[in-house]
Amino acid sequence: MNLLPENFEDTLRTKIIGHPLYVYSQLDSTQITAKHLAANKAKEGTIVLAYFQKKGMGRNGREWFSPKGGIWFTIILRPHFSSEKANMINIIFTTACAEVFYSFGITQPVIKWPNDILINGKKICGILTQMKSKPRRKKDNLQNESEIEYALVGIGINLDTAIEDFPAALKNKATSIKQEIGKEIKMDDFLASLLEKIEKYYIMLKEDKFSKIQKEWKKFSLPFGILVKTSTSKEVYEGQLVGTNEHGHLIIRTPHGKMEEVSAGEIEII
Amino acid sequence: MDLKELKRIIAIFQKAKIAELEVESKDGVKFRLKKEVTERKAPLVKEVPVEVISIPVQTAEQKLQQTEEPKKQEGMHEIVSPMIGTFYVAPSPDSPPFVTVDQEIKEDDTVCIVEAMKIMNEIKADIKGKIVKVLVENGSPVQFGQPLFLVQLPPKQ
Repeated sequence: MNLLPENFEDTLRTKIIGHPLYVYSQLDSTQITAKHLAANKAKEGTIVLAYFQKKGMGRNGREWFSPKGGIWFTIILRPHFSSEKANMINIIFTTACAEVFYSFGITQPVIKWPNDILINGKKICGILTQMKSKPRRKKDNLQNESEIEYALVGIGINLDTAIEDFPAALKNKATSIKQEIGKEIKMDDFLASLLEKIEKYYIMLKEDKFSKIQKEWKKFSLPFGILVKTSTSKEVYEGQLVGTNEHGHLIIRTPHGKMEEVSAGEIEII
Repeated sequence: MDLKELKRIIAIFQKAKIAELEVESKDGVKFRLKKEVTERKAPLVKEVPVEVISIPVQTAEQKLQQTEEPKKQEGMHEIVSPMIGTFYVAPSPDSPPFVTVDQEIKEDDTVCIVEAMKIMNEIKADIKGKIVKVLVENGSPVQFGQPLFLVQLPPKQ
């Protein structure tokens, strides 16, 4: 199995992301361990990585299948900016992942807004971000307040998983890098490239350069014009994918020609 | 000075924000023009565009519901949403809610999740007190600054 070398952290060319890097052979969930660390003053950039998760965390309490041979990790961030801006984290990190997939020979990684990456319609990577923040009191200055205690960005990548190893329910919905390019790639090479890209984009977000990342995002997005359906528990929109706005919210043109801005919920290709 | 020139001067005077104008030409023609000018003070601040907000007409039922809601008053506090998103009372559909009505909360207790773009943002209480009302229905969209909970503050010592 693909393991990280002992001195992996020392070889990283990042300044923040991956320092320190805690590697576990197995955990219930890297999100849970990272949450404990974050609550105990772990510094920004700390990574918790496990070779195997017993209860990998998906959205809405769902489990994320995370066997040996994948990359399962959580990055602790402490953004000193608004929640609105921090909400762009999934967009910028999926872009970073898609670019690195591409650089490792996967020709068509596709970002499904806002947090999944698909290859030929099958999921290869997912990001789950949890934040903890304190609301602004109305009298506060809205511009300069730092309100986020931490953000935990959980990233799961199917690296070496063979199709036959996926549970029956995922066989037609998931794929892995090995499956797509027909060979194993070294986890340390891949992770080092990914963390460098993630750090670059995180710094760009801090510097309000989201629009530059958005240009990259467009290259990997589901093609504009396709029909999609988005739904939250209260609203359902169907229409053509138009793109994203300056906040990273999805824009959909409904059959009546109205532009709807979608900031939450699931997206489905119809 | 010919008639054409005189008409031109009168036209300029009419448009200008001046009350009186005395003119003396080289050929000795001299006249005075007067008009009433409404005094207009310069605005102290730059005018800003006014946003027109349509106010939906309330039904009698809605009005009744509002009158029944606890009013924000002395000793009450609203916990507000830090962002646009979807409001959830629990971490997952099968989990119990973070807080319920009548529950005592401390500052920094998690009271709900607001989700946007698949980022689950746990919102902490910014004050100690007792939950009086959950102001938003589970799964509903919320706006930046929208009140989510009404909290009764502990009595002052």
